[in-house]
Amino acid sequence: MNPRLVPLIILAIVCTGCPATLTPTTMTAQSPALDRRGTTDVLVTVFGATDISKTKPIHLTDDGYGQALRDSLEQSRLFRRALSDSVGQYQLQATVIHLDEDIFGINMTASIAVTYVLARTAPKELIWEKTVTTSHTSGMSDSVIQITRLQRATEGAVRKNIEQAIQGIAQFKLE
Amino acid sequence: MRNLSLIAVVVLALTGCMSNLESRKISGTDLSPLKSFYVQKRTEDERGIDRLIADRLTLMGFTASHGTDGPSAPVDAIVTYQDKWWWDLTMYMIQLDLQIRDAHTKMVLANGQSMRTSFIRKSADEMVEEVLTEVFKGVRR
Repeated sequence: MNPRLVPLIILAIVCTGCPATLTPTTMTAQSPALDRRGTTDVLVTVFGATDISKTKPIHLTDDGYGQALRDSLEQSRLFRRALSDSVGQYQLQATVIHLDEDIFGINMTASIAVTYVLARTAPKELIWEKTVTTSHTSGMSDSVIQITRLQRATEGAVRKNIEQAIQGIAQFKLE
Repeated sequence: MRNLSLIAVVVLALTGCMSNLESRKISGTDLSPLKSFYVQKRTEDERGIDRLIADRLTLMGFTASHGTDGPSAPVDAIVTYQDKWWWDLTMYMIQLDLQIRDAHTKMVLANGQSMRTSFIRKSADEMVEEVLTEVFKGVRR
């Protein structure tokens, strides 16, 4: 191989990198926790994350987003438990409807829009519905690797989104 | 030229025939009590997919109506959908996503998706039938 190609290959790797899938841990929001834990359970389901991100450089999955949302809810103490596969007194559904990730640039920005619906299961009642849009920008101080900056940006946008959703849910007195 | 033909065949084989059919029911959901549906027309839909879905549900033995203004009488569930179209000599439906929602809370009870690339394309009506059959698979009616 031509030795002059080596710096170009290294530069290309630094500038682009490989697609990555976000893990729940890095998307979990750190919201202020209530003094007393809630007494009800919530079933959490996520749609659209896998589908909408499959053509993006940074991938989300429904399972990963769901786990991050459940972990964030557990940490906030709004509910006794956040469930993935059994029925609770409440049901929270999150549908990812928009995801935008920068491809070029020094500062990388990601934005995400998620529609949240919270309902009581018995009696059936819609409690809260809102589309939350958030964005986050990562700069060179986060990483010199472009794909890592974009990963940090997407993680930040998701964390902010979940934080705002939890703030929205926290307005209600959940029995 | 011969090598190019071979490459073209391989490329077509790798890209032209992708399909996916799947459905998901939310934990604890039973679709068998659902008898009446309202198909909420998607604002951007100019092809009348809402009517295709309502007609197919009727053929399957349900009561179904469709439109933009909401049901005129109470229904058991609302159907929402997203149709994606692609061009390859002609326009064709590449993907149909469909959600069965609780009429009171709007919560998704079940959803389904069919995706077919150009070589194995189906008509919009057949895509609707495929997704609804998958969603109601195993449901006692």
